[in-house]
Amino acid sequence: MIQTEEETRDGWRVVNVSGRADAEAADALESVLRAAIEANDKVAASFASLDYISSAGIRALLQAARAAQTRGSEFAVCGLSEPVRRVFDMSGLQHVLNIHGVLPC
Amino acid sequence: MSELVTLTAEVGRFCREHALAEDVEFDLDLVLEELFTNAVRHGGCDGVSGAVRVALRARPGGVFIEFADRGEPFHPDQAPAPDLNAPLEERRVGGLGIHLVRQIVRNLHYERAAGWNRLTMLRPTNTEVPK
Repeated sequence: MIQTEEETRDGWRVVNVSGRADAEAADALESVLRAAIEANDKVAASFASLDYISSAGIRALLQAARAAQTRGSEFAVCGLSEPVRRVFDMSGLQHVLNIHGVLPC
Repeated sequence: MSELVTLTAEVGRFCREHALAEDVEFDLDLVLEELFTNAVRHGGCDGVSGAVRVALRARPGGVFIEFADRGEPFHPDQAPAPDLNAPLEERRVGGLGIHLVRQIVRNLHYERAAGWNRLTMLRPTNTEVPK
């Protein structure tokens, strides 16, 4: 189960995601991110309050990132907690997602 | 997939009972979710009651994990290796779940017997365990 809330900060539409990005929550996560990407040029998913992510959550992120690429939106992921960062590292996501740089979280 | 919620709750209970650290609980959740979703999505276990069995045992060097399912024969070596260096447009996520399992556990062993896939493995809790 995930909870999301959105705000606009420094020109970014920030989607704050909390809870667990598991197989049950993956579709909801993808929908929320896609909707934000369709409506905004710069979208950041903030994972500071995300407790857990599995390959299903990673898949949702990759789908969102592809949607952003197609639309020409910027999409970033930031504020990774240590355990979530570990899953990102094990998944090789540092090569495909912008998870560094000047971001709003 | 509401069984995932049950699985997570049981892992939490096991970890509290054995005073296991949060990172151990995270890894057990991840390993079991990946194996479970594989069995449900690809193994034909979806909607089949009693098609998956999980056992956890706390041992001195780590947590011994046993995962069994009555799905199609599936050796983890059959999983496609994810191309972790591929650019976004070429990146496939197939095989990522098993890849994550392999990163986390040691001594992954598979056998097929009497219509069951049976996987055993260890999630070390001693950081000095060699990779």
